[in-house]
Parts: sequence; structure tokens; C-alpha cells
Amino acid sequence: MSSDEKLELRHPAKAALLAWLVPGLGHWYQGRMGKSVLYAICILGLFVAGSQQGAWQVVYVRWDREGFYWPYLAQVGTGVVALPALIRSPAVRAWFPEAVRRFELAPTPEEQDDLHRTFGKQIDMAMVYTMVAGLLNFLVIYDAFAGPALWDEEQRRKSPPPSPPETPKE
Amino acid sequence: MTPLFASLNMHWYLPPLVIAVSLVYSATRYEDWGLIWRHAIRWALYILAFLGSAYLVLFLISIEIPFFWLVLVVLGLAFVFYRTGSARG
Repeated sequence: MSSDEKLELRHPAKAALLAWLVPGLGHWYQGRMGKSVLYAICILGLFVAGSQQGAWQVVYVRWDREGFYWPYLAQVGTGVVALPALIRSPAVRAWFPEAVRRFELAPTPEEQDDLHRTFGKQIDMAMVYTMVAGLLNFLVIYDAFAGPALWDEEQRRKSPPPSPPETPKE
Repeated sequence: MTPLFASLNMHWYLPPLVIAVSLVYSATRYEDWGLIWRHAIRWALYILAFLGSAYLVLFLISIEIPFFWLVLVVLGLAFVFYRTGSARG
């Protein structure tokens, strides 16, 4: 393999969109199966573990007098699993089955106080898990779009440039 | 809904986070699996060393060693001199 070999990436823009929607799907689409499985397990694992540890009430959108819920900007990087939080209208939520009607719905201030009283710092750790999952997926999207960040260095390591010819001694 | 590990010690949250972060970060930098694993292990050790040293400093502050800041400055200077010496030598 030559040092200037290019990594063939199938439809980078489409793969990047798929990588955002479902972590690992963009790489699966490009035929990079190993990475796809790794990303799916690590990112979705972190997101689900975080949501579960936060009693399913740490991923939501809030933009009102209480202020903006900034962690969502990171959480939305995880893609489709964080998108139900955008549905805030009770009228739309009423269409959903009872079991998932409150999924990723912003808790009331009373519910939030109750969560912190019951679970303490665990809620903060749960939020960190979901945020880190989203932020890591931004790196994954970049990888699907442009390939690994140190591809050139990797190629140089595999085949170092030929050393210059020795000059004959006089 | 009650979380699965409701009374989990806070320290148990660290290993999955470190493993996931180091693996994903390394995989976005390289394509070769050998390099990914090697880089991930090194990155995990960096994270643990950084967190460990922060933990140590906070622990030392909490037990109120006399002249703690002086001790910290002396240790810091010793480290800088050591690095400077090893770089020259």
C-alpha cells in the first residue's frame, strides 16, 4: 500500500447523515462493519445507560421562562433516539400510546426537584453519559464524512518514504 | 421509573465512560484495528492518570496538610527541573 493511497468512502454526505441518525449506520453503509458495531455499542450504550440511570428524564427540550436546557445541544448528536424530545406539543403527544407518551418530555420543576432529592448526583452522571454519547457521535459523523483524522499518518507508518540514495564517498 | 442500579457508587460510572470515550476517539483517528486498540489503551491511561492526579490533589487539600500549597509548588518545581534535565541529557 503506497503512502498516498486514498481511503474510498461511499457517498460521504449521505453516510454522515446516516451516522447522525443512528450511530454506526453511516459506517455500515460504507462497508466499515467493525467500526459500525463499535460505534453503535459504545454510543447507543452510553445514551441508553445514561437515560436509564436518569429515570428516563434527563433527555428533553426546554425553552421557556425556566431557561434553555443546554445539555440537549450535545444529546441531539445521538440522532434519532434524541429526537422525540422535540415533540413538545401535548396535542401531538396525545396520539402516542400511553406507555411512551411521556418519553423525553421535559419534567415539571416539581418532578425535577423530586428526581434530585431521590437520586442525587446520579442524575448529573446520567446527564453526562447522554451528553458524552452525543458529542462522541459528532466525531463519528466526521469520520463517516472525511475518514479517520490521522489517515495520512497511518499510511506513512505502514510504508515509510524511501530514504534518499546515499552519496558516494570521495 | 427506578434506575437499574439506583444505589451505585459514583466511581462505577467512570470505567464505562473511559472505555467508550477512548475507543470511539481512537477509532475516529485511525482505520487500522491494531492502531485503534493501541491508541485507545494509551488514551484510557492518560484519562485515568489525569483524573487520578486531580483526585489526589483534591484528597490532599481535604486532609489539610500544613503548608500544602508550599509542598505543591516545591513538587511542581521539582517536576519541571526533572523534565528540563531529562530533555537536555
